Amino acid sequence: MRPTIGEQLDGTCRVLEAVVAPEVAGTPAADVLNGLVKNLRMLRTNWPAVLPFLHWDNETTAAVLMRSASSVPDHLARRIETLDADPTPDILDVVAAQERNDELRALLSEAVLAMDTASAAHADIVAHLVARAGRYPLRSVPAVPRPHPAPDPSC
Amino acid sequence: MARRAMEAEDSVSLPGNRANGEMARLLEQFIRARLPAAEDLRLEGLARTSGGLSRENWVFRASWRDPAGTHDVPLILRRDPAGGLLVTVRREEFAVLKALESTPVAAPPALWIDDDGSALGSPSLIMRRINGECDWFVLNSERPEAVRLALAYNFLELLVQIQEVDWRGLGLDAALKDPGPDAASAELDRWEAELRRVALEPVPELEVVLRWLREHARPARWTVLVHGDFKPGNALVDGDRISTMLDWETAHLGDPLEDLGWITNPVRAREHQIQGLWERADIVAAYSAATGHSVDEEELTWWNVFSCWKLAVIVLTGIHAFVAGTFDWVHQSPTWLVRAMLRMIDSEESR
Repeated sequence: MRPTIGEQLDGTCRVLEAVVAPEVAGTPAADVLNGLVKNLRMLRTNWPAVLPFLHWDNETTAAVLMRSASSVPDHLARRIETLDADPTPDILDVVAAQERNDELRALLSEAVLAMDTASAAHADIVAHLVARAGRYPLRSVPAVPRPHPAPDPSC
Repeated sequence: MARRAMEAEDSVSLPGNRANGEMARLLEQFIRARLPAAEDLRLEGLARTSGGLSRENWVFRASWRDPAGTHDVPLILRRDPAGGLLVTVRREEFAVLKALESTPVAAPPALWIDDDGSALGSPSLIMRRINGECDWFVLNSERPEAVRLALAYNFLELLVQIQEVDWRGLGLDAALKDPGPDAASAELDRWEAELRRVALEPVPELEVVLRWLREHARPARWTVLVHGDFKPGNALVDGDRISTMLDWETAHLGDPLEDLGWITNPVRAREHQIQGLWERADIVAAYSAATGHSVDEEELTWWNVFSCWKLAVIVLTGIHAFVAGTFDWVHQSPTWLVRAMLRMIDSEESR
């Protein structure tokens, strides 16, 4: 499967930097382009980790929710208990894994607001959220524009 | 050297550029309507400048004659883009800038406003251009240590000056709502509404933190003018002094610890602090000495957490606008803020 996704992203960055960047040098578009290329490079490095991350997060979030079922109101506990019955999406389907992630995290949002903040279940969820933040594969790439106007020599 | 570089890179005119031509035409119409006595009105050097995550910046000079004499003024137009990191109201920003003109606070004089964007294409402000350079990390730049420390203190003095503004006397309460003791809750309401508007996916992390913030919010002891995004990245430095504080778009009336919480926020330490010289304890001590007000550590930490949470919502606004096709900067889920917030909350709970 050539060019691979990585090769295509690398090549796109090269073309943007070698061909497009000189044409927009000194304009606001240059800053925007710089930010986009940095982001593409981040994606080139990190995209292979996205699907494994989603599987890890889906499995861990489901487990955290199951453990929390006794700490939330009955109507929520019943929805959590049906998680086991939900069909497992195709493990190679990124879109399905993402949809499952949204569904689980929506339930987690409800659960964490419905329980006592001093409970072990709450601490369990917070620990999971901290771990998730540490594993999250996509990172913002600093691309701070020079924010303000050129000085006027006669000011 | 840096200044020359900024002139060369930021002020490149785009002769023949259609956008510049259209902007020049709109600007001339707009300014002519506001200077009916002006003769020989000329706009020169119009160029869109680099930078700015939330606004388009256009610099130019305007010259004209009128019965008062001859004028030649460097100006900047700041225009709302289709989308961005912040959704704010130009009318409020204009009112703040006009009010600040009679105070010692270094802020750019605002000349005109196109409130609804009917004249300039989108809501805009035209301000006088102030000399100076912007450097987000000036406190950790290559300037000598003593200069950086003096600048840090200069920033704090400016913060205190903003808090000393007699906002009632200046009539600012006509433009900005005074939340009174409910300042913290009012800010949570404002930014929670923004979170609900922009979140593209469930974010339980922000729900956990929001709940903690709601449960631990304290009443404001008094009300001050809050800048709302007080940082070196929003200031111009001329020589070794701050020449002006920019970006008043999030200014509001609120709690005196809000801006202090923003600058003592551990996540932004590289922008606001100098390791070993100007850290949280130094800033708080200097603030207390300058204002005569003590600072409650727990209360300040609440505002530190709020700063991160608000910043996370702002990042989500940027993501929302990028996905909607109205913003050109890509952001990712603000996970680095999640860890910082949950760590601070955990420390507070363990006290």
